[in-house]
Order: sequence, then structure tokens, then C-alpha cells
Amino acid sequence: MTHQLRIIDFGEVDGLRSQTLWHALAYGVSEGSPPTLSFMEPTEPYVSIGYHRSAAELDPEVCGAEGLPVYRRMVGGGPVYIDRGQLFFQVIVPATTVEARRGDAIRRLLSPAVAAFNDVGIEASLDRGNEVVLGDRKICGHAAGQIGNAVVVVGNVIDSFNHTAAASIVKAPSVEARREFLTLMRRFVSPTPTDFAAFIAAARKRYSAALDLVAVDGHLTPGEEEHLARLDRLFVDPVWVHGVHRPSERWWRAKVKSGVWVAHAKRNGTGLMVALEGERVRSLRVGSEELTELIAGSETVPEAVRILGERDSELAELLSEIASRPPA
Amino acid sequence: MESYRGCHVPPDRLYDIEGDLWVRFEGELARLGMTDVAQTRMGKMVSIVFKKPGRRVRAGGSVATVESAKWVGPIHTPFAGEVVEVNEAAFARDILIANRDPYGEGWISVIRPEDPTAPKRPLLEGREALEAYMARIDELDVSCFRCED
Repeated sequence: MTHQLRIIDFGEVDGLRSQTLWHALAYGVSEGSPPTLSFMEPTEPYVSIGYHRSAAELDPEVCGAEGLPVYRRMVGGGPVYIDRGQLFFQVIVPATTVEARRGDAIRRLLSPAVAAFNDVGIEASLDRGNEVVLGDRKICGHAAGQIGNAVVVVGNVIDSFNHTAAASIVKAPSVEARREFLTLMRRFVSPTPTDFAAFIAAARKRYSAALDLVAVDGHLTPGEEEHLARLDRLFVDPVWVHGVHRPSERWWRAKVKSGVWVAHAKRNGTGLMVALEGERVRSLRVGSEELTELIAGSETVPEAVRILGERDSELAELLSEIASRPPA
Repeated sequence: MESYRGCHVPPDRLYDIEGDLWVRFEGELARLGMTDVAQTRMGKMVSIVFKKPGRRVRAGGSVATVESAKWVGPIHTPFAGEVVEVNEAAFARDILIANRDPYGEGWISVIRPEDPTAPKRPLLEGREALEAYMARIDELDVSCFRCED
């Protein structure tokens, strides 16, 4: 018997369906449908938040004013702004067929997508943090999870990207923090204009080869249609969107890509805002202009901690603590 | 401590080998946690959401979901029953507690099994558990490490 990779290209779908369709497929694969590679293009903007994230991370005024629906996905990662001009792909396989370590499984299930990027002329690679990058710029968001007995890895091809809108949906503690987040996003997140049909053809070939399965066009099963109807209702249920109570984070953090993020915190009434690229300090503001001047030019976290520590050991300790805990 | 390829398999409890889960009976209650293999496969945890005390769970259902490296996955219970206690406070203090101490402070939930003699999969103990886990560790090709290593 030939083992199949079911291919489903849903084409353009509304925001809700761009989430619920692939969740329905995951339940289907969990219940015995063949491994599946699917594609879809959302026709409208919305916000997607990770399974474990709090809706309180979002700026309600911005989301409300823009009329952006919020959908909670069943895979990981943070809040993301999704819009037209993005092609989403999902690879869904039985959980028993992936690598034991999650990081290894994600890497293997993203590698064919990287090869497909290469096939369409984009010199993408997978960095050590499992980000799909072009040079040092992230070009594909991804997330993963186990839904029932299926593992799903999702990613996207970004033809166009509104950095300002993407930065605005996250509730920021200050104008400076939001500005810094936007600056980093513009620097480290890039669209890669691509012929979506060419990418789909390349991904079909690459995933089929990597999984040693024969690509066959398919469609939703009746069981998956039932899951879809249930998920369409679930994803707009306010209880689902807001989720369970989650303890507040100790400080505000916004991730741009693996290793690059902005954080804001206060200690004893003094604010600290830092933008980090690994150990490198891209921007740092602490309390008064005088303190900020003092540490200006610090290029690394240890250097900034040392200089800050000479004036305020508690703020130096806070900076060190923030830097040691990059967001997931 | 019994161990294989760095993966500890303490002999003082039962194991759902396929589920990478340990079970320790405490009277009519069962304390559940991830094994060393489970925390190694997962990598550094970044988030956990528990099924709350008072909730009923089915055998093979989820008592918690954990996230690491943008991956969300369930922790399954081998028994149907009621959740009576969760280790939320410990994970709130240190989200890596199960990565550091999966068999101690990093336990997940305590449930009251409806029928402790009817787990979804057989629970193994002692030498049998270790040998089964050794085979699984080889099959998965994992070597365990803890966060403090």
C-alpha cells in the first residue's frame, strides 16, 4: 500500500477559517486521516494568540478600533497580527512519527519548507532557534503543537507585512517601548514577495520527499467537517478567546524573533526599558536622563550591568535578570 | 537511583512508559508527574495550564498542557477520575521546576481515580519498568539532561 501525503489548498478563506480549517485537519489526522499538508490565504486582518498566552497582552483600543477579531490557536507562541498577503501552510502528521525531542521534530518539519523557499529563489535557512531566516531576518512565523494524537507545525510565507499594525496590537507600557518594538520588527522581520503557487508546488514536492509519502490532492472528510463546525463556534466563544486566568508576567516583554526582544520593568518606581539582540544591547533607557547617559554606549549586557551597578545595584540586578530570561 | 543514558527511573513509583508519565499512589489518590524522558523531550518549559481541582478527566485525557519552544502539548492521565490538587504554585515560582526535579517538586497533579485498577495502559514498576524504559529510550534515541546539568 502506498502511503499518502494529503494535499489540500483551501485558497482564500476568511480569518476564522484560516485558523479553524487546519485545527479540524489536526483532529482528523489524530483520528486516522493521512498525514496532511495544507495551505490557505486569509482575506482579512485579525489577531492570533498562542494557546497559553493572555488576551490581556493585546491592546484592546487598537484591536477594537481596527475591528480586529482575536482567535486563540491551539499551538504555541505569542500574539501575532495576520493579514492579506500571507500564505499559511500546515504540516500535520501522527505524533508517533516525529522525533522524540520537540525541537528536533520542529526542525525536521520546517526543513522542507526552507527547501521550498530555496526552490522559489529565496535563500532561506533555519537558524539555531528554529527560525526560518534570510540572513538575520525572520521571514516566516511558526508554531507547533500536539492536538490529539497529531502533531502540527504551522508557518507562513509573507508577501507583504504591515510592521506598524503588527507592533500596534500588543499592549505596550510606554510610547518608547512600542517605538522600540516597531524598530526591531522593521529591522528583523522581512516579507519575501513570492509567487504563492510556486511555493505551494515546491512545498508539495519537498514535504512529499522528506516524509517519504506520495502527494495526493484531497479534501476534508465528513468527520473533519464536523470538527470544523465545532471549531468555528469554539473560536468565537469569548470564554475560549480570553482563556483561563494566567498569572501576570513579572515584566513586559515583546519578542520580535528568537533572541531579539524588548522588555520594560520597574524597580522602586524607576523604569527600565531594554532592547536586546542576544547579549547585545541595542537600546537601553533607565530612569533619569543622567542614568541613561551613563550607560549609553554599553554594547553588551554584562557591560551595562557593571556600569549601572556602580550607581544602582538593584536596577543592575533587574537588567541582568531580564536579560537571562528571553521570552519563548 | 536507577538510570539509563542519563534518564532516571526511580523504583519507588509506577510508570506509563508510552505516556512518559509516573504515578505514585497515596492512599486512594494518585500523584502524577512527567518522567525524566518527558522533560528532556519537551525541553525548557515556558508555560503550563492545569485542569483545575474538581474537574473530571477521562482516562487518556489531559490534566495539563505545557509549552516549550512554541510547541503546546498535553500531559495525559492514565485514569479517569477527579483532579483534587495541582502543583500550580510551584510552577508559578519556577516554571523550570519539572525540568529540574521531575520526580519531586515538579509533580503535576493529584487525581482521585475512579478505578485505580483500570489504567488506560498498563503501569509498570521496578525492574520491569526500568527495562521497558531502557527499550523506549533506545527506540527514541534520547539521553536525558536536567536544567541544572
